[in-house]
Parts: sequence; C-alpha cells; structure tokens
Amino acid sequence: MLGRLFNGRSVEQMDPQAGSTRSNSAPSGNSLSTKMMTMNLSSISDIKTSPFPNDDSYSKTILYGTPNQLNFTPLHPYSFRMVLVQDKGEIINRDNHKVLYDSSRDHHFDDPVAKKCDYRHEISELLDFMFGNPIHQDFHYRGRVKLHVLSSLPGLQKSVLLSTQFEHSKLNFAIAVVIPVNQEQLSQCIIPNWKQLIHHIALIKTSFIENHVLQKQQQGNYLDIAILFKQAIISLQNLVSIPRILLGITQFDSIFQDWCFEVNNWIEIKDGARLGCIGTKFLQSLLAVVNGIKDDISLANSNNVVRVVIMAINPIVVQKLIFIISGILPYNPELKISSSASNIDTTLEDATQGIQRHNPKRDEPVSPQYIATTRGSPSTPSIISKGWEIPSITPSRSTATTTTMTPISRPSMIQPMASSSSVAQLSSSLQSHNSFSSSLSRGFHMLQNWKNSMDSTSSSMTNSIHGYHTPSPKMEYDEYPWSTTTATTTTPCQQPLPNSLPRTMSSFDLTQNMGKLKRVMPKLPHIGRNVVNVMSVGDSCSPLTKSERLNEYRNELLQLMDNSTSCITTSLEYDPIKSVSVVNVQYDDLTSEYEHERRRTVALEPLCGYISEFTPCFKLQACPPSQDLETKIINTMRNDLLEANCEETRTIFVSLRAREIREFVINKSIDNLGTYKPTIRRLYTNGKPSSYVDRAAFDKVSKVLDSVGDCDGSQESMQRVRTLLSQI
Amino acid sequence: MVFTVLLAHFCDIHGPRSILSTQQTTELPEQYVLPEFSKESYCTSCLLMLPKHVVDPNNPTTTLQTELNNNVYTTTQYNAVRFRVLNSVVRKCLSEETPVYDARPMFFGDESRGYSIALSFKLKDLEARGSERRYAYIVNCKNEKKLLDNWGVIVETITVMIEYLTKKSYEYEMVNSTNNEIFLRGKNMQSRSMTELLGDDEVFVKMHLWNAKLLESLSS
Ligand SMILES: [Zn+2]
Repeated sequence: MLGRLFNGRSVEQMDPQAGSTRSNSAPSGNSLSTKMMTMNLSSISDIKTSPFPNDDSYSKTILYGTPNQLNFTPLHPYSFRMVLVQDKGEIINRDNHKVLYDSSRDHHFDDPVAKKCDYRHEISELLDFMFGNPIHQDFHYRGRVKLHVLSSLPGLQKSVLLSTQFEHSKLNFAIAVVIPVNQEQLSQCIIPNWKQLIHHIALIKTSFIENHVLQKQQQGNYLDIAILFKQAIISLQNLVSIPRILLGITQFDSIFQDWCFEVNNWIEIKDGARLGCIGTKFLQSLLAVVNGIKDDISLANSNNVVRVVIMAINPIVVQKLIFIISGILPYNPELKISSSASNIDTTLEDATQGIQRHNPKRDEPVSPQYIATTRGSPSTPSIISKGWEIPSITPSRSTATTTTMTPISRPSMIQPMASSSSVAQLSSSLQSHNSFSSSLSRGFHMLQNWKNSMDSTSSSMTNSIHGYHTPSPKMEYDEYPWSTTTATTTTPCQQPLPNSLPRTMSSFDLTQNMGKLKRVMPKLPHIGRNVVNVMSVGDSCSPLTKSERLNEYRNELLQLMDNSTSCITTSLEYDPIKSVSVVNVQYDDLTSEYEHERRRTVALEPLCGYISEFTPCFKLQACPPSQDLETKIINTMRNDLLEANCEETRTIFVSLRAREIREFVINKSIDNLGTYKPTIRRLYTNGKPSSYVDRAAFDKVSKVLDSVGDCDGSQESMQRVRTLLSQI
Repeated sequence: MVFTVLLAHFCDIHGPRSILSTQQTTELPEQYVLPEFSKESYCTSCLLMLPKHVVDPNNPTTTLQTELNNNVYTTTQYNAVRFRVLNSVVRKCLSEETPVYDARPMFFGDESRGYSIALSFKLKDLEARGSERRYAYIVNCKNEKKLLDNWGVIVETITVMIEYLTKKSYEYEMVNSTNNEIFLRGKNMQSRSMTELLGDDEVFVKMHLWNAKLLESLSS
C-alpha cells in the first residue's frame, strides 16, 4: 500500500540536495502533501496560536452557546520534541538504540530563550518508555500509540510522551513525541485530539519509511520529518485554541427561534425567495448535501473522513450559515441538553444586555442596495422549477457569474434615489405594520423584535439608514449572487414597485437599519465550557477544580476505608451451579458518585466557525479564499488515506461567493492507479442543484424549510419544525 | 460489561498476576461467579484474601457481588470471561513496559486486548524482594475512545486509592516494625498479602466497593 501511496512522490521538493532518481516518475499522486513539503522550515518561531475572528456576542452565542471568552490551554511550541529511534536488536549492547532524528538537536526547533537541558529529558528516559522492557518485548502491541507521563524538569514541569513502535524491512523503529501538557490539560489537549495526534504520528511514520528506509538517499536528512513534526505542532495548537461549535443548543427554544430566524433570513435575503419567487434553493441544496454526511460530521466514532469547507469572505454571513447547518447535525447525547432543563443564566443576560445582534459595519448590506437591485429587474434564477438538470461538464454560466459579481457593480446600485425611495418604503411599511404582520410568511422573530422596539427606536430609523455606509467590496462577495445574474437571466418574478415591496424584506430592513434596535440576546442556561470541552449545561455552579475533585474523592474513600465509619454488611449466598459461595456486599454510601458523573466533561467534535485559513483537522469550517485552497484540501484528503482503516475521504467544498457546492471524493479501492485523484462532482452550480443532490433529502429539507417559514414562534409550530427536522 | 478494573501484582514468586478483577455485570451476573480454582499457583501475596468473618466455612468463597442501581458488580481473583486477554494486559503492564511505580498513569492497548489506563505503585515491605511489593491498578476497556474520554475520572479515583494505600501501609509499618530492618533485609523473604501490609483484612472488600463506585460512574 505504501508503494502505491507514494509512487511518484517528488522527493526533490523535500530535499533539493538529495538528487532523487524517482522524482520524475509520475507527476501526480503525491500522497503526503507536496505543498507541505515545500514549506519553508526556517524555524518554529512563526508558530502562533491561530487567530480566530473576534466574533460578536451574537455569533458566539449561537455557535458556542455563550458570549463569554472561552479558555484554552496555550501550548509552548519549543517544549515539543520528537525522536525517531532504531532498535538494533542487540539487547546486551549499551548502544542498542540509534537515535536517527531528535528535534532537540535540530536548530529549527531551538528555543531562543530557554536552556535546552532545562526542558529536555534524558534520551534514556524516553527510550525506556518507547521500547519497554527489552527482555519481555511484546510484538503484538506494535503499531499502537501509547502514552506515558514523563518526569518533571526545571523548565518543563509536566509533559507526556506519545510513542509507537513499528517494524519495517526487518528493522525495528519507534517514534515518540513529547507534548508539554500536565495531567489536567490532558483532557483538553490530548484526549479530544487523540485521533488527530495518531494521524500525525502515522504521517511521520509513513514519510520515514518511504524516505529513509526504502530510499537510502534520504539518510541523514530529515527535513521531511521536521516539517511533518512542525505541522503536527501547528495542528495541535489549532485544535486546542480554536473554539468548537456546540451542537445541540437549538434544543433551547430561544436559540431555536434564532435558528428559524436565520433560516428565513437566508432564504429570503440570500436565496431570494419571496412573494412567488422560488429563490435559488442554495440553502436547501446545501442542507440536503450536509444531511447525507451529518453523522460522519458530528460523531466521533466514524471511520469515514468527511469535511465541509466553506470558502467565504464575510465571517458574519458565513457563521450564520454554519449556525444553520449546525441545526441539522446530531449532537452528543452525553451533553444532556433538553429544552425543558434550563435555568436561564441571568448573569449572562446582564453581561450581554445592550449588545446589538447586528453589527452594521460588518453585517450584510442593507435595504438601499437591495431595493435598487430588485427594482431594476427583480430576478431569481428559478431554474429549479424547470426540474432537475444534469450537470454539464463545462458550466455555461459560471464565468459570467463570477465576472458580473465584481464589486464594481455594487456602487451603482446605491443611488441616492434608491436610498430615499427605500426610506419611503420603510416609512410606509412602518405605518402599516399591523397589516403586513398578518401576511408575513417568514421571519416571525424579526417581526416580534421589530414590534418590541418600535416605540423606542423609530425615530432613529432614518438616521441609521442615511448613516449606513456602502460596505467595502470585501464584504460584498458573499452577497446575493442571484442578483448579479440579472443581466443574463430572463426569468424574473416581476413585481411592480413600489407597492409590492416584499414585506418581509421591509421588516428585515427595519431590523437591520434601526441602529439602536436591540435584538434581545437569546436566553440560554449557563453553559460551562472552554474551547474544546463542555463541563456543564444548565448548572450554574462552576465545575470543581482538580484539587477540589480529589478532595471529594479522598473524603469518600476515607469514609469507606476507615473501619470506624464504614458500615459494610455482607451476606453469603450459595451458588449451586458453580458450587461456591458468593459474598453479597452492601455499603450505604454508594450513591454519592452521581455528583461526579454529572460533572464529567464532554469533548466537542472539531467543528468551527470562520478561521483565518483552512485547517485540516476541522470537519466543519469556513475560511477565506486562497489560490491553493483546493490543492491544500486535496492533499489533506490524500493524507487521510494513510490511515489503515480509512477507505474513503470526502469533502464538501462550498464557495459562497459563486454559490457553488462541489464534492471531492477519494476512494482507496476505486482508485487502483495509485494516483489518488479525487472525483469531483458539482452538486450546486449556476444557481441550481445538480442531479447528484439526493432528491429525497432535498424534498425533506424543503418540508423543514417550509415549516420554518410557517413558524410563528408558538410551541406547536416550533415542535412541528423539530419533528420534521428529526425526520430528515 | 465495558470496563474492567484490575489490581495486579508483580509477585516475587509468580510474576505478574491479577489479584482482583471487578466488572459490571448487568445481565446474567451468575455467569461471572468464579468456580473453585486451584490455589497451588498462588501464594499469599498474589491471592485475593477475604476476611475470615465473611468467608463461608463450608464452601469455597470465590466471588464478591454488590448490587447498585440495577447493576451487579462482581469481583473475583481473575476475570472468568476474559481471562487470557486480561492476563496479557497484566503482563504487558508489569513486565513488558518499563514500569514506574510512582502512580503515574500510562495508556496502552490494541483492538484484540482492549485499551488500558494503568497506574503502578509499590508498598514498602521488608520481607519482599527489594523491600517493596509492586502493584498496578488497571482499567481496561474495549473501546479506546470511551476509555480516554473517562481519563480524568479513572485516574483521579485510582490516584486517591493508591495515595491511601501507600500512606496506610507506611503508617502501619511504622507502628508495627520490630526494629529488625537490618536483620531482615534481603533475608527472610516471605509472601505477604496487602491485607497484612495495611493491617486491614477487609481491604480487598473495600477495594471491590471502590471499584464498583468507579464502574458505576463510568457506566452512566
Ligand atoms: Zn504469588
């Protein structure tokens, strides 16, 4: 398998001096990412905690369950260490072990400040753990990763060692990685990321076998190993510092209302469905696609590697989309979230009062542009109504779509006339809000809020609209792609203006534009969590610290062990089948353990919001476009297949700007040429879903979205949505 | 039966041995009752010693059971159902790895033998080889993720037990030592049970209860 995976790897890229003879054999099929290999490994000083956007409180609440800052464990990159050792099989020889690579001797990993001896363990300590007892070697455990806690050093109080032994070409080797975490941090850094850590060790092992065992030319130059090790450090840094989405919070009514609100918003504003216009069905298609892999996304035990990567520019817009997606994903039942069990966290409410849901500087463009656009030629490429179209190999309009969707077209939409006209629209809508509320099909929530804030904020409305600045082109890309097809599409939903201004749009505009409008932050029970783990849901008392927990255990144990306090009662029972007696033991105080059970932490799956660049370890993420993003994703997928039990890897790749959904699949067994070329299918393109989208799922999602549109915020209507959601 | 808790001992005479094995037996708890077995291959230090007052004078007494919230927790000398597998886990922990007997946790495993978190420790005993007796507390589970997810509960519960055993045996030794350390060192090696090291003949019964509590919290 290795030969197949690595056939034709361009090793020149890893080591210019090596002069490999295999470098030209086959251009494609680099299994370990080529891009990665060309990375400049000058030092690890550039490893920093991956920055994530400074989300607004609303985004934080809907994605993470709390607007509060989430704690994480910073890891010190210089305290990591990796060694690669050969066991020469000479047990009696003192130099039985040959250290092939040791990052502590690699200047790339030198800490400019600390003294090495202060934070480097003696190699003998590592070897003892890596190889175990040389006399009683157990070969059965080969290949598995084990964990040991290392001794304390002056500069590295706590650290653990992950190691694995393996055999190749009748030689025995072991890889070990020192990770600077203490036992308390283990549950935040190592355990939730075990699978990913094992994967990185597997990558190092594979590269080592390919380049240093099978190809002797590579001996002595371990740049590939160093790069992979650096990748592993970066990956773990990301895993422990990027906040993970809390699935399941839509179980709480307040968040569920927000979910319905955002769904309606998206369908109307982004997909352009209103008053007879069917809209682009982009959201419906995306949800139908995600639905097909939802278990693989949210469950930890899945062997199928899946990713959903959304390429976008506007973090707020795309995070709302991620929130919508998260609403259809199953959540970990251990979280014990239920809509009834909720003591609203009042401290949270106080802390977030007055925080506006919509940040006008970063949020969607508002009514003036919208109205101007729809006036010109209110359009929706309602191609979907013509039925399912077989996707063509060369998308006919994709070029046009991207070219017309340039920022240049945007300023022309914002005409003074349009703006003033929109103000007029809004004013008239305001006056007649009672009438439109009855006919409102979508967006009960925004209407509610609009009503609530009518009195206090109506005077500021005009100002806020005038005060709104043209969004920078950067913000626009993800917006209204269907409106840009105006020029090429001739299936308009003609609406004579001004009287037929879509009403829900008006209320949305109001929500957007009344600068002082305070959308009430969703009311949630207290959620105790950090970046990776959830410690408590609905339990406002803060989780116990480790020493508090240990003290509780100590007290319980003393109670049990001390003969003067423990009252153990025993009785004998004869077992006639086995002809022995069984002692039945009873102890009064056995139930207090439930306290601990309730406080057990639950690790969240690696799903995140908008991050600064594509990060392979996250199964759901949004990131900005970059030239090599597709290459990065495909290389990552090839690396996935290095896992022995990984047969297939799949990525749903969404371009929000182009409103395009593509699916990349690489399957080990189908691909017998060893090139690991992905199968790419367009699932949604040119404003319509392709026949690859599962029709049944598409229809079920349609029912859900319809029910969301009909939802008026009552328990019954929300229950109806929930029921339909559970059936997709 | 997902988790098994083991107390293992590196016996001076018999090598790595399981002293007790506790598991949750929700269905058919009677199948986990251990039949009588030959004690020939055991000595005092590696045998599960039950207090005299609980043992049936007329029948061999092999099994401890406790019912808790509709689950039955069973402790026996060795695990009747997964005997081979758990024996090899004990061997792995105490002789194939490089044990550090200071209660630092380690983790190892594979698909066929399940995954284990083990904390090894030693108790001072002048009558033992090297004046100490070596033990390991092991929690084994077939599901790697399930085991690791419970790392905190497992390690903390066991750490506290080991802390207690170490302290108690030291105190007991201080009170009962006959000042003959020099005389005994390296000579008079004898098998001694943990019950003797702690001066508590109920210690294994209490461990059984503690393990049951741990398993109960892991099962919910
Ligand atoms: Zn023995």
